[in-house]
Amino acid sequence: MRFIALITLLCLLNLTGLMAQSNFDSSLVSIQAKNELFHFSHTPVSGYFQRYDFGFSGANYTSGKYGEVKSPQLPQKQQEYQFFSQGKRTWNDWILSGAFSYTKQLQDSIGWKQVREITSNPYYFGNIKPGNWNNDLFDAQLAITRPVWSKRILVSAGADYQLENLVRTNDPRPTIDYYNLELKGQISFQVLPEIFVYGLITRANSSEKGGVKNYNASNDSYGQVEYNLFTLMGFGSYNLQQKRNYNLNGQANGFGGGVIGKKGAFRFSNEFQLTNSTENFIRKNSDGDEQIGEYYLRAIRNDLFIHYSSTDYMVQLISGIKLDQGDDYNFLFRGLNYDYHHSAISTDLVFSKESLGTWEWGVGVDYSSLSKQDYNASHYISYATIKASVYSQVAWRLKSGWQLSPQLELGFQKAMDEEVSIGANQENDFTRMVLYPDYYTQLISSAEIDARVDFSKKFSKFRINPFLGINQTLAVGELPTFWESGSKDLFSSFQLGVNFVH
Amino acid sequence: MTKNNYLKTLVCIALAVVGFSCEEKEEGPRVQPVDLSLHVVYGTDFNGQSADGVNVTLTNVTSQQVYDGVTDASGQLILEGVPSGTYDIIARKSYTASEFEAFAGVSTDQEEVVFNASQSGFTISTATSAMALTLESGRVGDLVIKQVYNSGSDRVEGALFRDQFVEIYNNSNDTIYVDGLYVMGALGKTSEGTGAGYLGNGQYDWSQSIGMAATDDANENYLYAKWIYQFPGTGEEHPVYPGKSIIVAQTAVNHKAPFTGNKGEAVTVINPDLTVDLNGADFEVYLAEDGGSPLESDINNPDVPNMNNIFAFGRDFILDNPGREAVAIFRSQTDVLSLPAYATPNVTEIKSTTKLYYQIPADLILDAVEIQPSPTNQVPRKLSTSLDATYTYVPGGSYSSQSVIRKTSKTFGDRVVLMDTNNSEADFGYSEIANPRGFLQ
Repeated sequence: MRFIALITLLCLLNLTGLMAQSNFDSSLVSIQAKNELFHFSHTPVSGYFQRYDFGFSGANYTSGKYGEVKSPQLPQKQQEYQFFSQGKRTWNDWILSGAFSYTKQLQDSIGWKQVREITSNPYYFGNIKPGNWNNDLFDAQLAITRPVWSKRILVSAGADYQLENLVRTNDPRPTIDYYNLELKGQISFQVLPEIFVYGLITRANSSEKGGVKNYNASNDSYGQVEYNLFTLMGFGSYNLQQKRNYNLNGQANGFGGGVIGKKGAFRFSNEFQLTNSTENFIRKNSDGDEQIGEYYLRAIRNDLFIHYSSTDYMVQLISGIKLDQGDDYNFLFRGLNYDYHHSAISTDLVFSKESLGTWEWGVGVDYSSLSKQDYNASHYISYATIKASVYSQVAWRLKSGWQLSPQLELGFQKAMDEEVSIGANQENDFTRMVLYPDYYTQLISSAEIDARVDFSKKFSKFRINPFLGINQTLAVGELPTFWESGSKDLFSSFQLGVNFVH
Repeated sequence: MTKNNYLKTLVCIALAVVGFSCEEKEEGPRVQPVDLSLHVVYGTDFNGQSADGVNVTLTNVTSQQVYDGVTDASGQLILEGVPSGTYDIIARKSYTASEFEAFAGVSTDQEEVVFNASQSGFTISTATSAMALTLESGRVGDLVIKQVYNSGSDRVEGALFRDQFVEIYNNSNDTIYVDGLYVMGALGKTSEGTGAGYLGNGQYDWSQSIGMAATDDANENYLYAKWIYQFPGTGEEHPVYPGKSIIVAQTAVNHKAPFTGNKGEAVTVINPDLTVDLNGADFEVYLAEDGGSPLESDINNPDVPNMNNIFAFGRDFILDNPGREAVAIFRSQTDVLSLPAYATPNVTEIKSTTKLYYQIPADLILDAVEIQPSPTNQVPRKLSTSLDATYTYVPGGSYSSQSVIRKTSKTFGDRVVLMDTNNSEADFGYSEIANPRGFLQ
């Protein structure tokens, strides 16, 4: 969806004239541009707001590395090779937009994960011994909009399709096939000149199927503890019966609404969506299927975007709210066992002033609060984090016609309100090897520096934008006792790529 | 209210107001850990009195988490915060000879008297938060099963399952003759059965076998034989000296070296270190001349006496290599072939081809051991608590070359006395490579 939003941005910037007050050519690389890309609209109707047909493609490579201090369920190293393409076409009154991406993902040394990804869903396979993953990820999106009734009503539909194949290359070795299909329907009404309100419904179905094998048959035995398959069932509860195949089937229904438009010097959007999803984890072997648990997640999202431009200055306000609440039904325990709560608020303010040249400045604050509880295992954690960041970017035109845009961001994160409670005599392998490392990692105060430089040049038929970026996150102050002998180098990454607009 | 609780409340209110779910959600009680109350008593031989100082261990079958404690003076034990789930429960108390005499008022010729109680696959939940255990003292014998090598060795580089054996040991200080002694494997389900003909733990309910004549407990008081072999001899032909053992081999050859099978082809191994030399076995099972289709590896070592084939299972003396086996030794004055025999309880009609299994009274059993594939993949138990309170297993599983082997209790000079408390979890360990006549280090 970020690619569709990028197109929205391009068209708005180039075709609606709303960015005409901008005093530099920032169509692809400016902070303002990227914010509109990610936050203006994620719904099928966004294609309507793009005034011109276009195409946008790119390729990038990202390499990231965590330090010693990390959750065992994160990779020690990760590399991604990605290719993407998207575009928008108008045919008579029909507006079509689409996007496609392929990512090859290589991950080193992930432990306690024998499924596609670790989410808030407490039901999954895991094992102690870390292993490497080789993943192929495909994503395709299509949206279509038709204005009716003299363009006072917009009828839109969209489909997002993900197809993934994931393979772990060390014993025990899962092979996982996954797909997710989300359908969206949207209707927008013009309530005022250039202001639309809309309603949205979504329906998604997903299927994840995995089978785990050991190439070395001796790793099948109970005595090979690091290769034993755990069926995780909560946040401390688990089952060691060795059944090596699973299905994770999901359904999600959502609805939402919002407003998009402009008035005077303001351009704005606000999107609100509620989604209710259910995932069913089934374990399988030659004896038949065994239903293990169902996980229910209720999610609220609200994204606000306001952009103000005058001849002298520009201000952007972006704010997002996420509220998730999850619980389960455990078929083996025959009852409700797990609770999950996560709430997050993020706010960014970006500013640029004509008298300051091509500089942009921004500040951001992110607050997140999380709690998890496994009643049967008597495990509970909760914590909150707050992160503040400042960032800036400048655009310089070079003689060759290239534009150079370096960007620097500094951030600081701190944890608060932390609590962990494990019942007496209830510590187990999961507690020691997953819960404690992850929890105490979250409590570390950290400083982050993110630097990126974009080059951009327009040719007759296309614009090119190569870029490269680095990120470094370091622990600040003393590490928790659990990690007292660990390194303060928490994370570093490097990215380079090239984008084309054609 | 803390910040986190405020946010959680806000979230819950927002989500409750919406109520737009299109999917049915399973409802049920909140799963909670349990404060489990246990009461341990002695059996009727000791008037059911409460048992103090009893070590009680609960092992969650599916997670292998362990909770334990010791009963108080009134035989009570409360274990707090035990997660709901399925558990194997063991209670154990041991007395020295003098302690037992002070307790029971009678003397014993045993150096140690051990009482056990066990419950396997017991469900603990908020609906079941109290239970009672009754201690029983099992028979400890002079002859014990010392080692069972059922796993076999690697399928490609080892001897597969043809190198299996059972070792029987004289744990006393007198010479014992094995003439006429029987060795048997107990029959049972290798997966949980449900419905008519099965007990709550998924094992056969033999009381429902067609024509069952036993008026006492057909499950607790008897074993049903999957296979039976008998030591030959008329009385005093085959002695086992104190601290010595006898090996009963599937095939008494040196499996580390090539040998010629009964079809004239060479039978070899790639890695001799994975298997054993059974050329010196005391007895072997030879079925090639009993009809049927013998295994190529079933050859006769003329220097090794053959066991009497009373009731064979399969093409040779083949033990279940995943470990779904229970082995017992017994003596019987009555010809075993004249004992009652019954079909499995799931059989609804006896036909000429229906297999019947001999009913062996449990009070004939001298020793028995229950083997399982692993703690987390157990099959329904075949033996009662009085025969074996628990089970043993090899962690390496099938074709691992590992064997279960009884631990050493004490030594008197050159003579080793092995552990024998009728609790194979305590009595047995495992050997990385099966070790005929060896001892656990």
